Amino acid sequence: MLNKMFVTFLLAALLAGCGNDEVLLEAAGDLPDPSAVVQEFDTVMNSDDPAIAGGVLRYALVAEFSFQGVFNPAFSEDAYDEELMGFSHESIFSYDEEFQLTQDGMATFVLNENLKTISITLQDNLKWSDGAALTVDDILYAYEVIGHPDYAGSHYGDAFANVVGMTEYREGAAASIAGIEVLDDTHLTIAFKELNPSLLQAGGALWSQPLPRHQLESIPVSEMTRSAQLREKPVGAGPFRVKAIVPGESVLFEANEYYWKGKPKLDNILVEVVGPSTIVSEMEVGNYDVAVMPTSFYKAYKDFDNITLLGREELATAYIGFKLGSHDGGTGANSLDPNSKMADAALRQAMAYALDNAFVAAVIFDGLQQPANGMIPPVFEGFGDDEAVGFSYDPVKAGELLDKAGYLDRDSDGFRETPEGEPLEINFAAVAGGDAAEAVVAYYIQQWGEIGLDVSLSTGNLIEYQKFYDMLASDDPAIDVYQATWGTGMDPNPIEILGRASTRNYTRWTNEKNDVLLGQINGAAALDETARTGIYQDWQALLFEEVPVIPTLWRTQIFAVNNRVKNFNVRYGATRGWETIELTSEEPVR
Amino acid sequence: MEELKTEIASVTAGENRLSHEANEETKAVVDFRSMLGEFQKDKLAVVALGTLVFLLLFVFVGSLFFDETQVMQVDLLNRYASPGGNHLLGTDEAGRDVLGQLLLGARTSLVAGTAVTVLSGFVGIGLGLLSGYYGGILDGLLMRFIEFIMILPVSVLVLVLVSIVSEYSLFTFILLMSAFNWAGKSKVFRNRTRSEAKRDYVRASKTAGTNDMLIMIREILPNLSSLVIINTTMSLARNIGMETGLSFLGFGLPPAVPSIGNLLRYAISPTVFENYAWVWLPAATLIFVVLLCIIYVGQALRRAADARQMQGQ
Amino acid sequence: MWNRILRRVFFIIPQLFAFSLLVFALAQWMPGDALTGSLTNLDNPWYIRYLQWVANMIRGDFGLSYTYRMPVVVLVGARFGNTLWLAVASLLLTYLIAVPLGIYAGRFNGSLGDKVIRFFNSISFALPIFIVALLLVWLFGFQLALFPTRGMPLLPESQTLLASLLNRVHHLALPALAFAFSASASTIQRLRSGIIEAKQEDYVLTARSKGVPESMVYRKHIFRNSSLPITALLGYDITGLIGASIFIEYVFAYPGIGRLFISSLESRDFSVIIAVLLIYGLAALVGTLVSDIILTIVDPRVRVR
Repeated sequence: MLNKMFVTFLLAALLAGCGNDEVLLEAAGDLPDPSAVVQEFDTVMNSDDPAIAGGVLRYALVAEFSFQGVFNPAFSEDAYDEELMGFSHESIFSYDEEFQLTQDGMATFVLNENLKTISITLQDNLKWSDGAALTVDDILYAYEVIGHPDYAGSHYGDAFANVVGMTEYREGAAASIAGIEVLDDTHLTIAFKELNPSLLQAGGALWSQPLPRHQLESIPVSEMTRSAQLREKPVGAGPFRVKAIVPGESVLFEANEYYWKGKPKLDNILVEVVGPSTIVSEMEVGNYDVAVMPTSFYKAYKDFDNITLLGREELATAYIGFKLGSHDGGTGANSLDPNSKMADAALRQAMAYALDNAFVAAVIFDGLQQPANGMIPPVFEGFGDDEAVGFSYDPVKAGELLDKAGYLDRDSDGFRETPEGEPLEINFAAVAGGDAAEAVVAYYIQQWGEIGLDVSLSTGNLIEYQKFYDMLASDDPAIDVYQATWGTGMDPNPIEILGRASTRNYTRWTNEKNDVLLGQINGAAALDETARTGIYQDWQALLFEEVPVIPTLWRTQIFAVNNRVKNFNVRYGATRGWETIELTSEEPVR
Repeated sequence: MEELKTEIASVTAGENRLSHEANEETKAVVDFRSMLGEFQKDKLAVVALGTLVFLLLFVFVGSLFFDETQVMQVDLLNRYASPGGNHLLGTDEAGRDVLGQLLLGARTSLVAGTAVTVLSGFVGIGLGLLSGYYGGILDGLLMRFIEFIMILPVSVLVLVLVSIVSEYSLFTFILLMSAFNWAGKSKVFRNRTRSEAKRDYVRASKTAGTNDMLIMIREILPNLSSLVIINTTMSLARNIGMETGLSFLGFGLPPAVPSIGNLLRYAISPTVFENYAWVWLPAATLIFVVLLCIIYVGQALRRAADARQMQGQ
Repeated sequence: MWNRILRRVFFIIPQLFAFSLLVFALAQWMPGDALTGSLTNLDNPWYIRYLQWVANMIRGDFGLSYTYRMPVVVLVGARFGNTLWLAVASLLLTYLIAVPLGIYAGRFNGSLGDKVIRFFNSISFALPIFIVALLLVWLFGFQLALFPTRGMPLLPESQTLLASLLNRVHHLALPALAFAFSASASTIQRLRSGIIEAKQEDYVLTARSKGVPESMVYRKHIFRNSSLPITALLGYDITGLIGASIFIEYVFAYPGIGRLFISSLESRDFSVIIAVLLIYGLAALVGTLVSDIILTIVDPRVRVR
């Protein structure tokens, strides 16, 4: 449930030794056919060449701008930081291809349904990257920090409040969390108020990233984000350790000899931020070994002979959100504003019908993306609704909806006014540097113009990543509608993206039926899989009616891997990770 | 050596930070018309001027054939279409016509560059004249103030201003670009005016009781005409270059407005650079040729003025 | 003379003061509190805030970056060295190219070689520096793959000093070349005019009539008289260097101050913007100072304010 984008990228770092090759299917026909089967890719890459000892892997972090550089799963806010932490931090639990927790990680667990507890057993002799012992006390510490009254990050939510004794601790009434019991260095039990099915979901309701108490305890929680410990010398339990950073530009990792699976084969991993406009050529020339490629340029790089393309479905849904209210930092709750510009559901529905995402997916992304008919990506079987209709391209219907709702163009300037006769100017915000972002945004604005809506870009331009999310989080009035991506992580639980009390619910939409359904999703009702599927379907239907968001696209994540890399596997649930990667030559293949 | 020493002296005085402005200094003033006569003898310069006029006509007349809304129409089926057929220069990432964007964008760049030059010219020359003529405390203060503005490159200051004022129209953009541009000009003209003001004909007019403003405008200014021409010409080239540069960095006009800078941004991606060169190459060539012509004309004017001066005209 | 130099050195203090006031004024227009990076603290009267700001700066506190949530000093410090390397390499390469070409053009002015040089000069004036940079990257970086196309990577410790130095030079080659291509034009032009003028000076004609060989005439008289001023003008070129470095670092994704400047502008990280302005201003003032000093030493007839 605490699906953060970090979990998505933690996955990017996991690999397996032997994998199953999947058949490469060609999209049917020459003209892009929206209904064609989405191309499938290999997820494993093997090489028979002998490996060299050590070596430096060059990883390109594809981003238009910079990463924030907060190397701590409890405090990072930035998808790129999360991608970086895939090298240096690791969850104590492992999971399988269905994103369910398994017993092969640093810790094993036992769920007691009657007592509503989870007992965690850590392996003996675990160490942090600086050599200090990793014990269950560090797990407790993580809960203490995130639950701390001074904690200002975004991970504290219903999942944490679900721990017995947490709310009292959070309010400062208790000095410790009653529900967490430390039995000894390797045994810990957490008691929950309710059994939440997300507890067994990877990246879900059971927080699984320990924090190094020995390194951080002298720092007040309110100052942790800024501390040098988090930024320059972070301590984690992952296969690699941060050696040097140029803030926002590059990170040099070195092998962590204390890693629980043994010292990694590589000596170093060098990560550099590379812009999406140059990454294709950079990979062609062999400047980098691994990069996530922009799908809109697929035709340009699919035939490069020095790389192998691997792909998998991305754990994310691109969507268009509407700002419908505000967020109270104090109480932490969102509240709906019935007078907001986008408050009329008909207006939102019309905007949804004006867009032909199937067309966009086929034409811009070569079928490597597909139109989304709901918020849950299809990689989560049993959560999404295959039969859901979703929004399709129907500009006539859009026009009718607007007419009926009173949005008419009375002064014949080509744009509709509000039912009250006021001019309607809608401000749309999107992140700069996304895959074909400018083309997609220009298309959307044009389509809305076709149904008579005057939409223009907030601030006149696409917005830089950090600034964009700052504006969303602070409910900047310059944004009415926005385009964003919901990184589901491994847990498609939507409470974070649309829950009443979630800071990451940027729409600020609240709805009672939504509360009920989300409660069921997070409660015992959803423990049964069939029941759970039904609840999710009801929830999707609610979204289709109320339209706080318009799901637009589901994406394929394509990795370009240089042929000198051995053992690279991107399959979800793989058990072997960066520590097994090896290289077959000193320099990448050109 | 004299010229070099004069240059050093003037540079020490903090006049010209930009190296090619230094070369615009002429030791004395020259009559405008005789300078033109000299100019005509320089064949290359005449060709440059001719080319420039032709390009200007091409841009301004050509842009009349294009309607902005139509040019910026997104047509996803025709993304990155190669030149030919409906689109003489192909299309860009969103299927928009490149030729239309080129002409409309070039028109905007030229208009903006000219407007900035004219605006900062008026302010710069005006302040320079006043300051050089009257001297005194205000002159001292102004020169000090200018000194500090000129520490930082104009482009840096404009970038900061643009980031503060987040939404702006073409008009505001022109104002922002002109905000600090006048300073260098001011200094150049102030120094010139000062040396002119010491000359006999000015003293005579003053004694005769002529209005100060009249002296400045009717007598001093015409004598600086060659300097005005040359300075303005080089300034135009610089300002057009600056506008293009700002747009390229992403701090120009919004992406929905056709502009040269937006077209040039496509060159950042080597994939586009190589495979879809029709998007950025015409823009780069056009700007390059326009600037080259302006610079040639300016250099020729300077040479003409120098030649005239050496002939004692 | 040393008196004058000393005075000039101390003069930089009021210059810094005035410049900081200018920056402070600019900061007032910025939303929030650009000087500390926080969004509060706008209650005190401006002079108090100014003094507080200066006091903080002396202590090394330049506020917090809003985007990175880390001290601006750390952020800038990591990149300053890179830009310095770039500046030195760029200037070196510029003079390496410009001086021989300028002397040749001046000495043999009117010749075909001179005409060719002048032609390339005009091209380099007219071609915007970022286009030069893009062309170089594409040709030498991607097509021929002779040079790195971007950045300045962190290196594992195992690299020897020589290896890391070579690596740095390898990464600086294209950016410095891009700068040199654009900036050498004005130096060539200056040198050329200087030499042309010097050729006609009396003492040169005298030396020639005495039968001194041409090359010695050049070496002893002309070149020496022309070259020192060029070096002196170097300080004044800092302003141009700053502007160019922004474009070069942008195109080459070079992790220097220029790139930081652009990204802080994009994310409206005002405390970083202010810090960068101060650095640039300081660099320009120091450059001017150095040049003034050199000029004073070189030619006592030139009065320095």
